[in-house]
Amino acid sequence: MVVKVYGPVTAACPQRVLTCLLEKDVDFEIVHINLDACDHKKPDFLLRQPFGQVPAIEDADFKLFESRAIIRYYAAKYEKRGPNLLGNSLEERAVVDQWLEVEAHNFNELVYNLVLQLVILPRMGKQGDSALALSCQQKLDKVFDVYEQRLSGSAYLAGDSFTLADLSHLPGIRYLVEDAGMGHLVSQRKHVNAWWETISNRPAWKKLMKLAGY
Amino acid sequence: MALKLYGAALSPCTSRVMTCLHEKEADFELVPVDLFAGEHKQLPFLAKNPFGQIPVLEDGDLSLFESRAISVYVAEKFKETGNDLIRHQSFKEAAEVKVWMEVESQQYHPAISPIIFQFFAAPLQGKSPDQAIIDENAGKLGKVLDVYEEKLSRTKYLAGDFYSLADLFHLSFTYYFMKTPCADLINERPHVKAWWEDISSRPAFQKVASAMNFGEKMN
Repeated sequence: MVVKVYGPVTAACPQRVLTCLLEKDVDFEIVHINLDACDHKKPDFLLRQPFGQVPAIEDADFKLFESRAIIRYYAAKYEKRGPNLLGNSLEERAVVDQWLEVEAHNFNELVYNLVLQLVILPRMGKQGDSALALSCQQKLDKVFDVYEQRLSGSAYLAGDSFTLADLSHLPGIRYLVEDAGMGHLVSQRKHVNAWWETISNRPAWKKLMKLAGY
Repeated sequence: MALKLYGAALSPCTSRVMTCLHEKEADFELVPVDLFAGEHKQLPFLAKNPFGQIPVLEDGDLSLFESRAISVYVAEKFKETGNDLIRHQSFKEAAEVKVWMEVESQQYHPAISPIIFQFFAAPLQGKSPDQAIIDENAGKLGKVLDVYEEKLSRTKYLAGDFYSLADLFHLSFTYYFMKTPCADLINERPHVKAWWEDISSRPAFQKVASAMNFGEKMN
């Protein structure tokens, strides 16, 4: 039976989950949720995800939401299949977790707000807050400086292998580079740039990009 | 070798990890970091956490930052001792714990943290609490707590009928929150209130709460 992933294929958080499923070669079906029509705020969907956000998954009779919980679940469930996205020892797993937390708490909010102001609000015909966008960009600059330093010592964030910590960044950085005109944040940093080139050229991510129609 | 935790006893993120360590009956040494002197924003601390934040855990050669990652590591390393916080024997229960840990991280924390900042940290910078920010985030937190109220009417704790890291993660910020005028958001929701009274009375948290005196320093 396939895993049902509820959410649009073009939204960042569903992409996080879909990339993980593709890396692990897990069959899935995308159940499109129309965010513009506010399907995610309707009673049916709220039964799946009480905070009214995408994605949610349904795997036979097992249901989950929160994209980072979902990827941790599938990376553990299929630990022996495909690339090891979690790390081998308790210590390695802790370092993967650490950088997943960095993505969640030091990176995501800045990218989210930047993309909201520069891309999403204008697409909806509204004015973005350019002062807020600038502030996010300046903070993101400092965060990328830390990433540059980290990636000068290891090929990937948690060490020498691609893990969930790197995977979790893919959708957000794609938005920055392709939609928000912020590619220089990546391209001006030698190690961040090399890391982005490597992770965004993985077959699973490229498959997702095709599915999303990019 | 004992674990070393670099942080401050009054800090909610340090307290998060210490509560977990106490639940697991793990020995550790708290190495104070002087926040008021900006020690966390300078070397040598920056070499431990380049984001300049506490806490940091050192366990032999392993050095970790991010309080939630540290807590999960402690809960897994000491899974055979103390209280079971991660349900490692049930794959699906463990997944539910992961969901509600993420809910704390992505829904609860972003709403409660600015309120704590306005009441406790802004005055340190010579500012009065910004009521607009407080009101906006109180509105968001109220909606999150509505979801919690419904969930906790069905299960005793967030991830099921068992206490887990998902509940623990809420303790330290909520402890400070209950000292603010916004505490009604918790008290007005009977299942949330009962849950809060239950989890905040656990001995492991009581040990840590006694040192969480930020508010008292302000008076």
